[in-house]
Amino acid sequence: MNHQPFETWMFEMDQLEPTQAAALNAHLAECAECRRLMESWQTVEYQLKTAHPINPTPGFTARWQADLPLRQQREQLQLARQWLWGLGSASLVMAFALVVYLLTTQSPVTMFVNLVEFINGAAIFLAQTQSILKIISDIVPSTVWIILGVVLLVGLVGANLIWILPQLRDRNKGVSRNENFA
Amino acid sequence: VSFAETDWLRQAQHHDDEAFTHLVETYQTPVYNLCYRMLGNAQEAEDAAQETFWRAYQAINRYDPSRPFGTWLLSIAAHYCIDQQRRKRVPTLDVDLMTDMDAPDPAPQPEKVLGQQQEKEVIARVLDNLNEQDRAIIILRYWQEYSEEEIGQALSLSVSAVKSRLHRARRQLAQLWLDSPQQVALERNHHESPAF
Repeated sequence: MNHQPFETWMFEMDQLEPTQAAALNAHLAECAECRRLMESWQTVEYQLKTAHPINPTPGFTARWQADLPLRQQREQLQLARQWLWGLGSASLVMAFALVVYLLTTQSPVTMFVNLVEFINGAAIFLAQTQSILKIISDIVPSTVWIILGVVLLVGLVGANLIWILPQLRDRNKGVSRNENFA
Repeated sequence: VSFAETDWLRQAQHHDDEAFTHLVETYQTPVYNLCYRMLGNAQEAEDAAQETFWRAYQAINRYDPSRPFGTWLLSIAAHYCIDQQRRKRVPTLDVDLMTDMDAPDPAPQPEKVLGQQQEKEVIARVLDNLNEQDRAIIILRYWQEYSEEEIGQALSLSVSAVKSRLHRARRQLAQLWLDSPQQVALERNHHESPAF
């Protein structure tokens, strides 16, 4: 027996025209196979329609609030890690490209000579810088160095506080809100 | 969407955590229910629901206010649960585990708890046999009473795809019910239990 289109219609009862519904009923009256399937679907649909929505265990919102600062910290860490990975990868690619460039444009002997010259130049530059700093230190009184040191220290501590305080504030904010919603 | 909700949404888009918390409070049940029906486990449903709200929190500035917030949220939840299911690819139903983990009412009536538990088992059993996307479609259709257009929006499917999948899922559920050895016992419960 041909079960179409009745087999389709029995799952779309709410969209049938009256003539289609009548034809389906007539088919169901004579087709036991479709009737069983239809009854089966009606039972399942009844179960679905009457099933209660399931609530989360109490305190869902409080758990959300408690986790929020942790999730934010994790995300910041992840972003920092991604940024570092990106930077590291870009540096590696650039270093590799530089090595390839040097190898294809210069002989190893020339490269070695250039490297020695570069190290020599750097050493001379450092020696000159050291002499200049020594002259400055002889001219400037020691109290100025102490003041500069204190300013630098205060600046470092201040920068650290600027970084740490918002995190502490966020953590406390999350906890206090938990109390409100618990 | 209430005025208060519109207000919370606007404030949440301006990084107001408290306003977003009101949204969590409002939508926790539909989101959790979807996750529970999809994953069949209380702890996984809790994690999935929390993750859904976190994803929504991160993407709140990309939310289009012309679209219902609930649909947007359930779309995130459904996609997340579908991904979780695909990763696991193992049977999701553990009725014993569910019985242990679900918190009963504070003052449960034995027959009510029994009826609801049986109901959960029946629903979980039939849904467990559907693939992830078809299950999401059935859940959105019957618990959220979404139209085919809304289901399409939530699951990034065309209306014709939703119709075709909905028909396939219904056909499969009916056939599974017919073939199920527990059918007789469950139907007996259906007729006898006051919960049904």
